[in-house]
Amino acid sequence: MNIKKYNLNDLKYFIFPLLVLGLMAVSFFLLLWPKVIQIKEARSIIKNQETKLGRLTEKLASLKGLNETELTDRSELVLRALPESKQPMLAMSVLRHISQETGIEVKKIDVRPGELATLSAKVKNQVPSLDFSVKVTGLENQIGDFMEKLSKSLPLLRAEKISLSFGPQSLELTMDIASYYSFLPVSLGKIDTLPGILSQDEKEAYKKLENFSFPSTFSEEWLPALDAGRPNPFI
Amino acid sequence: MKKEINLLKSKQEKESDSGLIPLVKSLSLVLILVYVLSLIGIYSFGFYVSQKEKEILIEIDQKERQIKKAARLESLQLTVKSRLNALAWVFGKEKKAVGLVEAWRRLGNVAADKVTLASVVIDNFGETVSLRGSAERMIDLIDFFQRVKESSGEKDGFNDLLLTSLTKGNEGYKFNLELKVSS
Repeated sequence: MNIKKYNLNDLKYFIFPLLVLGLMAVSFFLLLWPKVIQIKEARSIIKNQETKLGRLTEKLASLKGLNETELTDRSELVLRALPESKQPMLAMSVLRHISQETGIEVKKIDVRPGELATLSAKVKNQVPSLDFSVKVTGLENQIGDFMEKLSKSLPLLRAEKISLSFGPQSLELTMDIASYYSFLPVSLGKIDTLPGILSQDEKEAYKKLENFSFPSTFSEEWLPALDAGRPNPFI
Repeated sequence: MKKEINLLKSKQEKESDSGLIPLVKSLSLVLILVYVLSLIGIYSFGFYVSQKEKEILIEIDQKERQIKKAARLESLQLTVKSRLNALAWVFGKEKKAVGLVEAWRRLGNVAADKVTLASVVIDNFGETVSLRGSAERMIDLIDFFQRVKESSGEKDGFNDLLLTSLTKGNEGYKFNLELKVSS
């Protein structure tokens, strides 16, 4: 059997390629692979950022499409319809104003303020309300006018129950009224969340609301003056 | 002769070795070249990616600033939307019900002279109506019921008439009637 004998001098030619391969393997794990991972991560981040940028562009475009004057008018009207908190005095003042306009006699107003309404308080309805009942007397057409005006006045007052007793000359009307209110939004939400577009129901609600009126001669003087806060001792 | 053969063999082996070594050398050079090129390519691509990331972040920042500037508009829109949503709910409660004012006026008209209404109670946003009244003659009462029932053919008319009580006294017939408003 002929065994080939290699000289060590012959192997020196393979040292360089082996060294190159070794260095390549080491540098691959030290330089190339981390960079590839980094690029991969960066690309996924870019993808997310591009989506976010798209949403931001869309939001900016929709915000630019909003008319500030129109929005201010709308918000004034809706805030008159739905105050930000329970307003028993305002509701009662509106009642008093309408009763004076129609000439009916208010016999009794029973307000049930209920629990203090805070944002954390649970409300039984989707829209919280201050409930009260009112008893008035008057002629049939006066009562009719009273109810008509009440149903079209702001803040939004809604009769939930009506009891009419027919007397010999006049009518006695007892109404359970809900005076609705709604808290102001506390935050604007995420920056890339689109501002909501009005739905069909909301547009219809606004159309309806345009026919409502804040009592024409209604002003601060209708509101009873209440002392509030600590008096200034220096005056 | 044998010596010559061995010399020839070793010469042949040397020749084959000298052919393998340049091949290995050139292959390793090619490998180095490819590796260096890929290193440059990947690093420059990485640079491009990081530049693009920076550009997008700058653009996002600009857009966010612009959106923050328009925060008043957004808050107005949010206020309007949330309130109109609440109002739509309140108005929606009335959708199935006849208008409260209209309801009792119509009943008053239907009652006419021969039937006296003592009370009308309209509940559940006008979905149910309770009537209490009296009539001297039974025929007038039947006529009244008939006319109330006929009004159910109208839009938002009454249906499901339920006579809960009917008593005869000295002054005539006293009745309690419950109505449901059609949706």
